[in-house]
Amino acid sequence: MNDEFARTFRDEAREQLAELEDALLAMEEDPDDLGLVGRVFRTMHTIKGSGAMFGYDDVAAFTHEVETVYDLVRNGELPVSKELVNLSLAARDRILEMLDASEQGRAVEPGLNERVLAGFRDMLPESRRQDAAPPLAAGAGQEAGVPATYRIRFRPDAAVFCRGINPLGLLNELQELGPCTVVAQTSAVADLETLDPEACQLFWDVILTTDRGGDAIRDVFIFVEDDCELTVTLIDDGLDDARGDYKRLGEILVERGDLTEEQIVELLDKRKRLGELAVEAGVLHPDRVSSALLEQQHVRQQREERQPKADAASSIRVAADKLDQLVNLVGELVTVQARLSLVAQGLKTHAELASVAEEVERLTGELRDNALEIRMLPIGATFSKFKRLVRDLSSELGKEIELATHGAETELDKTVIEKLNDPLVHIIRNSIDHGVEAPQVRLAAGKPKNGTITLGAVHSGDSVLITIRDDGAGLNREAIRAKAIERKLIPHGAELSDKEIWNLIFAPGFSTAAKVSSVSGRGVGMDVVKQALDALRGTIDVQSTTGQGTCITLKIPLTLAIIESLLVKIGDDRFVLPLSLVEECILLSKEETAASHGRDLLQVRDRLVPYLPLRSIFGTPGEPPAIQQVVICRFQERSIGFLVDRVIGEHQTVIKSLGPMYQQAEGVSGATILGDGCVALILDVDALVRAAERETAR
Amino acid sequence: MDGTTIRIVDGGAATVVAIEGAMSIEHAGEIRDGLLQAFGAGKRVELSLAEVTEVDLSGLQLLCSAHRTSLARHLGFRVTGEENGRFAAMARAAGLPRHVGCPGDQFGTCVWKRKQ
Repeated sequence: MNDEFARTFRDEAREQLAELEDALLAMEEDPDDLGLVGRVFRTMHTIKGSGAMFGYDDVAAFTHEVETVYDLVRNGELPVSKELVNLSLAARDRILEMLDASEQGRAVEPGLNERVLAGFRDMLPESRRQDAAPPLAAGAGQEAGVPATYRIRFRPDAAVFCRGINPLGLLNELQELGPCTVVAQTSAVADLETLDPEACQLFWDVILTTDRGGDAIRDVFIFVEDDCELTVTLIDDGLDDARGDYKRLGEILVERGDLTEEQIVELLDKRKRLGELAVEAGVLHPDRVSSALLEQQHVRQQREERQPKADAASSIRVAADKLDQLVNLVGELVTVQARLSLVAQGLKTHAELASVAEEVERLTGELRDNALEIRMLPIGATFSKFKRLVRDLSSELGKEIELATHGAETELDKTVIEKLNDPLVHIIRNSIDHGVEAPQVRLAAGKPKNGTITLGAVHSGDSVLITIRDDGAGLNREAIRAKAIERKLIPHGAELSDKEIWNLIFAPGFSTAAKVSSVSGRGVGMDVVKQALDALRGTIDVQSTTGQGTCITLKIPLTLAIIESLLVKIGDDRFVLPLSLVEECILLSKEETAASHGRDLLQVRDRLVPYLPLRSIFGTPGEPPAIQQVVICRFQERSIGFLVDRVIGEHQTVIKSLGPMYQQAEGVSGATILGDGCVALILDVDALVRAAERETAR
Repeated sequence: MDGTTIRIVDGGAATVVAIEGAMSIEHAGEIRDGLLQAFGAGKRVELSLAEVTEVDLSGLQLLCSAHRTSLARHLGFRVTGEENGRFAAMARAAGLPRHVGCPGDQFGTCVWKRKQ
């Protein structure tokens, strides 16, 4: 089989599985919502169908058995239970495993699949167990086509019940073909005196949109063909791109033979709504009006849905590494463009070159924004993965915890989202294990039995703020302090602010957990989180109130590839500072430096701002200029200055990593190539401030 | 399913019918008879479905028929306990819920009318 197709199938199946997990978790919360059961069923059905089509017979056969159970759930014959959700989640994991295994060319352990399937089979009532036959062979009789809408009038023979045929089963089969509106016609149902209770007096109008063609519909009725009246009429071929509009009610009723043209004309003369008129005049049963109105609504909806679908069809799937390569190339281009602009500036007499350089600058800017935007993804997919994590872990620990999310639509660069996954897992695990208390403890503390973890994302300038908030016990100030003293992180009797105490949890190997659980307590976690955030150029902030909970805020730059920055000069070297941090730049004369008596403090309006003399920190040779500049940055809710020789100006910084040799260099987090080909180092504000704090503490 | 019982109790202003067990084709005859007997009392009929364990199309059809009977006899008719998930799911799958009742439904007591 063509690898390309197999890969596409696997990609799509993984998306379907994510959707399935979402739907299952939602179904667990709201077991009465049949819409969700339908969603689960449809997803299973899609995986089964496309699995069979692409030769993944194991996936198709497995899913088929699960689907059999969901068919009963959908018909209200089986309830949605915790057991069903657990099994279904396990089934979802097995399907994922089958996909992974086939991709890596290894076999899955059949016993595990069998165990899950046995669980499903046990749920089936005795009479249905044989039904779980393997699915049809690959793509049997499927003709993929344009979805068209059909009107089906199905009037089973009165004796249908006695023959053991369940018309509902047929209606359900129709539902599997596509979006379906079913209206039962009750006009023939007699009152109890004349009713033959064993005779079917109901008949149905069904409006169905499917891409399988009219034959597939007739196939559904193949076994009852002789015992029913069946008309299948194509009412919308799906090709006509008429926007959301559809036939008028009168036209539908005449087409169906429910009313004649003359009756319509007569009714319309009365200038009221046709449906009401027809019912009032007694020429039409209200069921027929309802049915016609539903047809109108169904087709309109299908046509409206087709509009955005036409747009979706114009999107394509691109391998992520191709996008990464594109962004890298754009990065190179930005660098070359900076060089071109510099050359053009040097040759001032060459007006034409200057104008070309300007044009290139504008285009490069647009290209850069576009390329970066392509890689932006909503963070919601990551959030929904955590629903499962919270569910599984909390039940393992005997806690009842709900996960609420907001801001799922917030977009972040794809690579940033990928790197955020692990830190978020650590933080959420910590919240579940240490944060949220056991139900009885919560009740004793007068809190609701169920704990809540809220995961939120919001844009803030060129960063995204991600908050993880729990309503648990909060961090234990004393325990952290005691542990920090024991580990000699702080001296005895040190007076620390809340913030300083909370920051101790990021020390490597720090854990106050009395016992090691499978979830946490091994002391790996928060320092890993901190490292990951550093790598993302992000910051982490902890707020905690005893008894009320903890809120951890991660501030992450939107993208890792290119940032707006401020270019500064110290001696012959140039450095860049992320522009998002910069508040203002202030001149500092020699006299002012002398007046501060060696304390690195600067009076800015009515406040004193400490600054770091970068020239002496980096040991730059030579004398500073008579007037230096202080770049004041806003960092962790305070202002801090960086003393440099000169501020050059704004710069588009394409971030390059330093390479393994220089990873340990303190105070710089990366490098960028300037227009003239020189390298400028990117200052790591966080590390510089921490190093200075350590120095002062000594 | 065996053991479907139909209890008919004189509830003062109304005759109360409670069905316990399956409302399926096997019991359709007895349920019809029970309902007819209830309407025979000439009072409003209240039908409780809270104890119904299973329902099929014939059962749903009986509800419709009972409602028609109530209209023909000008007696009130009310169904309770149908919010039991099973009924809602079945009725929805069968395409029964609607916005307007049948022509005789002058009191708006149609069993399938959506509760808004």
